Amino acid sequence: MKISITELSLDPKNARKHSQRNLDAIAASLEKFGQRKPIVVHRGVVLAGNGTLEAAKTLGWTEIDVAEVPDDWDDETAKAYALADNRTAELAEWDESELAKQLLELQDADWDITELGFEVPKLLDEPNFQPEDIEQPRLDQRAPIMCPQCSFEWRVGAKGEIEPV
Amino acid sequence: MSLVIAPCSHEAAKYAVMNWHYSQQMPISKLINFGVWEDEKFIGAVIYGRGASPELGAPYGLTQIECCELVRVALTQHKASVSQIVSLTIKKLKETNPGLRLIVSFADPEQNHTGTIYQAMNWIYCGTSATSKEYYYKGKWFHSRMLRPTGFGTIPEIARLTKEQQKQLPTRENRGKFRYIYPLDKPMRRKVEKMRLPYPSAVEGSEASRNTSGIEGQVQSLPTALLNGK
Repeated sequence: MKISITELSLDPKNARKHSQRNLDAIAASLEKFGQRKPIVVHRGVVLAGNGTLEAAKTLGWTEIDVAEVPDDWDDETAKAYALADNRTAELAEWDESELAKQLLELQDADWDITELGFEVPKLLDEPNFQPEDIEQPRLDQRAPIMCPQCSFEWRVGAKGEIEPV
Repeated sequence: MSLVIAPCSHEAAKYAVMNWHYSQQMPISKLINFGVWEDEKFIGAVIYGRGASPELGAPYGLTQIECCELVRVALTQHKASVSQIVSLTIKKLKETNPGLRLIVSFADPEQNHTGTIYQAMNWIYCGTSATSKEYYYKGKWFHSRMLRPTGFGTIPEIARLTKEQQKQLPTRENRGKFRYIYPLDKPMRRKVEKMRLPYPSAVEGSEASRNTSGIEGQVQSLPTALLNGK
């Protein structure tokens, strides 16, 4: 059932907070896939899907799909449901190896996985870079200047003095 | 456990930033890249640069070549403390760049960073940097400098939008980043010590207030691992 976003309010007691990064990922997901599951509301207050509602607002949506819990639920039942909904999702674990594999497959197929809320996956076999015997640039020196006439090279020092190179 | 800090290639530093730093963005100015190895395994990079502003050292009476910015600390799982790792890179930096007198670094409250590493190392906190404007485009917020046609951090796809199109994008004002400084010699420490302010708390970091226009709703900045893949 679609209803106007203005008829909904976020749960002021929502114990689950959404970071900006989380909201950005939800917004990107909504933009890419649309809303594929309704948010759950009780008498106009969002019990499950507060992040989705916030993200939908940032996208300028005016309507959103909702599922309403029974109207005769009391506040305690609603609170218990809201906590359980967050907690049950939280208790699941990623199979890191399978996750990395699938993310890499999506990346190979030109999907921007950061838009899905994931970081660039760690490669299963990370390269082990070695220390390099390289000359690092100097941050305490300006680039040298060469006179086009006599090829004299100098740089300007910290106090504006001329330093031959 | 063996801990080694040594110069690393740009490729290695970039790998660390793209995989282990929240920004996933490699700075493009002149950089000094220190790699970090624990038990001979590469675990990340600590990167110094000139920073985005040529006036970085001006508030402390320093020129561009007397001051640098700690621009990235990009580490994966590590056994040594971050402050120990950063301290060792500072020691190396002083050896190779004896003309430097001060390091500046910023902690981003939008990421819930208050600068605990710097606090642990007794850096001097001296307030927040200037506020910045951000634009919302395709599900992400971008700093205003990324909309400029050229320069540091430009994102061509957004920069190509017409001025009118850019004006249509939702915007928000960000509170500035927490600014920390670390003097590299005693006279400089004496000079800047008087700028020291009380360290910001975690609460201040999470209450990064801002004005948002063009989008409805209150945007929060609190931690969650949801959708983070971790």
